[in-house]
Amino acid sequence: MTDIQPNAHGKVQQAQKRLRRHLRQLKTAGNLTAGQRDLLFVEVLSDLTRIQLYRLGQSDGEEG
Amino acid sequence: MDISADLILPILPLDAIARAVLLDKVSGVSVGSNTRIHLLDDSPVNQDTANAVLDNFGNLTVNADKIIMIEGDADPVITCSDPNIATDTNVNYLVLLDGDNFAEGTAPIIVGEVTLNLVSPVAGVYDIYIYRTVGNFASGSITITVSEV
Repeated sequence: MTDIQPNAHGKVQQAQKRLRRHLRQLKTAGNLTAGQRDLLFVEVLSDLTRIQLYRLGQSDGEEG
Repeated sequence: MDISADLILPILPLDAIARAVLLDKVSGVSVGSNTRIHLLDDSPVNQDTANAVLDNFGNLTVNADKIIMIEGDADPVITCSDPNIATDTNVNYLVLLDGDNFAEGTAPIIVGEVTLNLVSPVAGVYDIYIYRTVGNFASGSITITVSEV
């Protein structure tokens, strides 16, 4: 079996979607503790390189 | 020279296939009221190849163990055991996520079947295209829709 691994663009696509989902969860999960909120972000950010984070900052305009 | 078909085909996978099999003999593809492959070198063999790409687009049967799933479910497994690939060594694949190029590569054919594992998909629509780079250059696809948790 061959694993389908995302290319550079695909990794950014995935990261954007995960980050947006986590941001939505944060907005609606008002009862999370600060520690739980930190864990949500760590889960997303640990997968990203500095360049990917930069691209996210450049392209992600959906979350207000 | 343009090789055309009176069909409207998806441009990204068609472009990927044309470039994979015609290399620098093709300048690209265009899709409007029909579909065209633009040849830089219109030798008979290249014309035949371009026609085969168009004629056999969508002719491979591709399956998956699930086509609708929720993010976090077990990874979907995509298979193709179409008779067209029975004697091939490998096939190429292209994956689109929400219409954008997400992944591409080559996978081996083992006992007449290629098996792909879509690792930890996020919410979105994945179109998985599999295509031959030899013979009749047939291709096929399947769509997997992943919903958010």
